Amino acid sequence: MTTASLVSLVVIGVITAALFVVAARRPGRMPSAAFRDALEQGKSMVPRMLVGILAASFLAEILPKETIGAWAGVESGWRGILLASLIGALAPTGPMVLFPVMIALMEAGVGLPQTVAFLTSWGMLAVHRVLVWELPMMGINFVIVRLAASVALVPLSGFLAGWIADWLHA
Amino acid sequence: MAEERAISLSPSRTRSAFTSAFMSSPRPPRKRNIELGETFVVALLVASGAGCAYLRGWEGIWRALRFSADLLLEITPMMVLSLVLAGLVQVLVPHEKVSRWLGADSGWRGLTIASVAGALVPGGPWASFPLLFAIGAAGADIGSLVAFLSAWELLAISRIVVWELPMMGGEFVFIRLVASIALPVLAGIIARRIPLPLNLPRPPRSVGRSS
Repeated sequence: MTTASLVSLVVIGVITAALFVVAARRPGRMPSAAFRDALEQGKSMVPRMLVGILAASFLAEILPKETIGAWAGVESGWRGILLASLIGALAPTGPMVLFPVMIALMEAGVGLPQTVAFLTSWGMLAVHRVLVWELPMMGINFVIVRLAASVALVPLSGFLAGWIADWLHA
Repeated sequence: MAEERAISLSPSRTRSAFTSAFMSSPRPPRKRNIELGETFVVALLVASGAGCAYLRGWEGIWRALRFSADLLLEITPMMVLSLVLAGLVQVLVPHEKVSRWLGADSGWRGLTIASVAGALVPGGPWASFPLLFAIGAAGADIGSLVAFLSAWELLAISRIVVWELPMMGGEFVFIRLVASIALPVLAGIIARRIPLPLNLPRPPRSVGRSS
């Protein structure tokens, strides 16, 4: 386990413990209701999540990783932003792999707007996160609405970043 | 209040259609009502598994299985903890307050509150999604939920401090943040205009209570 995830685990643990104390001091057996909630949700989530994890792993295995390398030659412009958005959505990884990849991409000459679009896309559209978490927990309607609301914002963030960078360096 | 909740917990709800369809249970088959999302993921699993076997052979399948096992081992302790956290949030936060602050009529103010809350959640998806579900079950509307999740995805303070700032540098972070800061609220506004009901996989407790 990485240091970062250990730190997050501790933070979540402290918050959970604090809320548990608050709940235990309220009348009406609230902690047991909370544990029942957690158990119930876990039971409905685990089988769906297992299927999602397997599907995401197979997809990660099939994905042509050379695409990311080939894309590094692309010059700036809206084509680069759209391509970066597409690749960002398919990058099946956590931040520990993502950020080193982004550094490598920028060193290979990829522009800042494209890199920002790549990161935004990995955040908002990541296919693996939709499969493993969002679909099992929130249902298909939420996924459809959220993706429809976000899909145009990903390239927008790239364009905005380009303008801000131009303005900063003007 | 807790007793009321306990009554409305119907056991048939806790066992989803998916579970009954995929864990071959010896019990008589229940009415099968497999959701669209579940069908899609299973179809994707079959297709990607077949594609993996065809393109990468048994070695690829084995690698994918090991990757899955590693992922599962890593997220399990965090998931258990965050499920308990989400359960505590569900019992502690009063529903009428959540629907007032984050309901369909909460306006851009609700979207802003949801965005700030989303940016404050530390950790990976194992932390954010149970919380997202909890505030959704407590009465937040789809726009607030989209704003919350988008803010966690784009503006999560912990990820910026731990990863982005040290690796990408201050200028990159500044430019990206200025470019992204309004997007969660914007996504929430767009989401509220899409006429699709929020059907959470497990019906919110309040629905069971009122019917």
